[in-house]
Amino acid sequence: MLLTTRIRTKARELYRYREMFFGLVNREVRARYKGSALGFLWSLLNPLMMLTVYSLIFSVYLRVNISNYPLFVFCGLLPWTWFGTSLTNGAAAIVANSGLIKKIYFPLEILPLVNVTTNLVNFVLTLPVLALFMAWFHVVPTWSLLMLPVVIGIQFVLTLGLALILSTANAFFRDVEQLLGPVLLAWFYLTPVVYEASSIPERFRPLLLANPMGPIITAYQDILFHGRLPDARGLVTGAATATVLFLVGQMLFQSRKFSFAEAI
Amino acid sequence: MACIEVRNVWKQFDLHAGRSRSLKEALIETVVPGRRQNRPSGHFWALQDVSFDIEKGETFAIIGSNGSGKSTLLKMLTGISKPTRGAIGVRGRVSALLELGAGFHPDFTGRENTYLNGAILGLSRREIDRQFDQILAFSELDRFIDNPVKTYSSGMYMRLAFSIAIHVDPDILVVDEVLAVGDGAFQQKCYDQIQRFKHAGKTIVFVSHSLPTVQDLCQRAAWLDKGVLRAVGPTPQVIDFYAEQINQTIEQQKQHLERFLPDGRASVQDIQATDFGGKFVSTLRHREPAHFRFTFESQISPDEIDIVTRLVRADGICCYDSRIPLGSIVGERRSGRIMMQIPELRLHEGSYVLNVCLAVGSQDRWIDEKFYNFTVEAAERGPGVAPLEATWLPLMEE
Repeated sequence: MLLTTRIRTKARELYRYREMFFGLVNREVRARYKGSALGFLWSLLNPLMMLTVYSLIFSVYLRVNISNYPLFVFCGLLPWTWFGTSLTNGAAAIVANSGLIKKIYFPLEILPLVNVTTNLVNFVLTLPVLALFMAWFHVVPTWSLLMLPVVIGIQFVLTLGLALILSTANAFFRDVEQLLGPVLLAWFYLTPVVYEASSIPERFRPLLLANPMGPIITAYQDILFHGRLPDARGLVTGAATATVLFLVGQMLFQSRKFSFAEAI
Repeated sequence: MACIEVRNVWKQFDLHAGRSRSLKEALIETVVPGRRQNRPSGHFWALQDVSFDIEKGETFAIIGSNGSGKSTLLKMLTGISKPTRGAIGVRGRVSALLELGAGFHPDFTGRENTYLNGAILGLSRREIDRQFDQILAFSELDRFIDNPVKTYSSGMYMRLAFSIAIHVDPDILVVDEVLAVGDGAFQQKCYDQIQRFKHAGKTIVFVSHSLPTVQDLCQRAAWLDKGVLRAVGPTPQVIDFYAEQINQTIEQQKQHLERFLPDGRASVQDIQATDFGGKFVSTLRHREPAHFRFTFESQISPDEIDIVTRLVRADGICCYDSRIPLGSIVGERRSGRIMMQIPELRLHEGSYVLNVCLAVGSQDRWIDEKFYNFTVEAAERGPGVAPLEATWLPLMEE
């Protein structure tokens, strides 16, 4: 079958299951905080607590020289939370839904897609708080804000690609879920969230180039913290990496999805 | 036109599937040659060269004992898994009543879960809006619909789940053993709904252990036995064929039943159906007299022995059961021949087993037990177990 025909068939099938997709996203977003007294506030309290700790360590103890440091960290921490949570839950997406997968036919791509989207919704819901933060620190947003959807789009594709790869791998090797914790922690510190990319010594810069989250997080900081346009070269690199990872993830997922029902 | 085509389908399972390997094992197997052989490996064929067609608008049953490959086949019909070899072609929207309450979240209300579950089953929001009142009425949940489903009893949970599933409007409906939901009245409603599907010209694939239900609902059936298609064709023939084999198995098992303790004190032998004149026959006619002759022998007084007879239809339904003291038939005679006479055999066409037991006194211990297979022929196959010839009268108002 031609690639374009295949993509069209896939798209049509996903469209047919859009109600299921929205239903599941709705369930996930609301279920996360159902039954807890503070409800949605938790998705704010979590980053706020981390924010306090990072500000104390890096701004007070280690004296990192960034003005309005809490706002700076917040700009990178929110998208990183979206990324990290998506990967942690994404890895489990297939295994955790074995009941559905074994009994009902539906396009399985929906599961990682639901997970990344749910976390995107949670991320977007925290943006008003970020706006309050910006107002508190007297940071006025500029026209560069128009680039924000583009950056979010690139991060979405990248996260979805990785979630497809991880959920497939985890269906066959449960170690993936275990491995992911330490990997994400290391990845977090190697990504300029709590420090600026410019403070990385020249000879370690290639390490940043290999990290697709590097230019993405930097772009958020450029747009929201510095109020300037993000670095075009970085964004293009990020977009290219995201696309490649997404295609790899999609191919891997498609080639394995019919063994899921038997493997899990 | 066939709307489901199953062509030479084979399905292989890894005996160790489900036990996922750890990354360590996988790495060691890749790096250390020869290590792979140490892992116990094995495959088995869950389906072997199965082929059949299901026509549009047909109600088709798949029968077979546990582990025969029915569920494996259903999973492939619904697209959940793919055959190892061969092909399955399906035309139309398939809805499967395999998993009730898929995606139900305990913290959400019945109403919220209805929308989510409906969406998973392929219903749009508008379709659910339109059918919501029917779903609610069918589930008999009433005002509980706005309580979280975690507060539901398991009966309420299943009723809601079934109500949603039954309101999906597919071209092909796959039903797997779900009629055993709720009480008798609710089951009847489910059954009626399936009949409605049938009359609407939908294709139904039905998997059940309940042969009477299969017989009532389905025109054609396929019998799977350990992954092999043993028979496919009109339901009555397939069921007879299937039931015959089950009876053989049951008969063998019966020998080992605890309550069958032959101690040689009495025995019954040479069971035979005969016609009026005493000539042996192998088939009996519907609504004609039936005679069964036995010889018996006893060491003890016939007054102490009961003779228990049962007529069991091939699908396991007991149509007749009686117990009388042997002494009341033969007096003090300790051996000889006896005959059971049925003036009019009101049994439908099919295969039956006559089960004759000898019991001592009031105990439920058989000291002898014999089986006799026979068939009943009729001009046409009637519904139900037996024609009871009800008559109807108008009642005068007082």
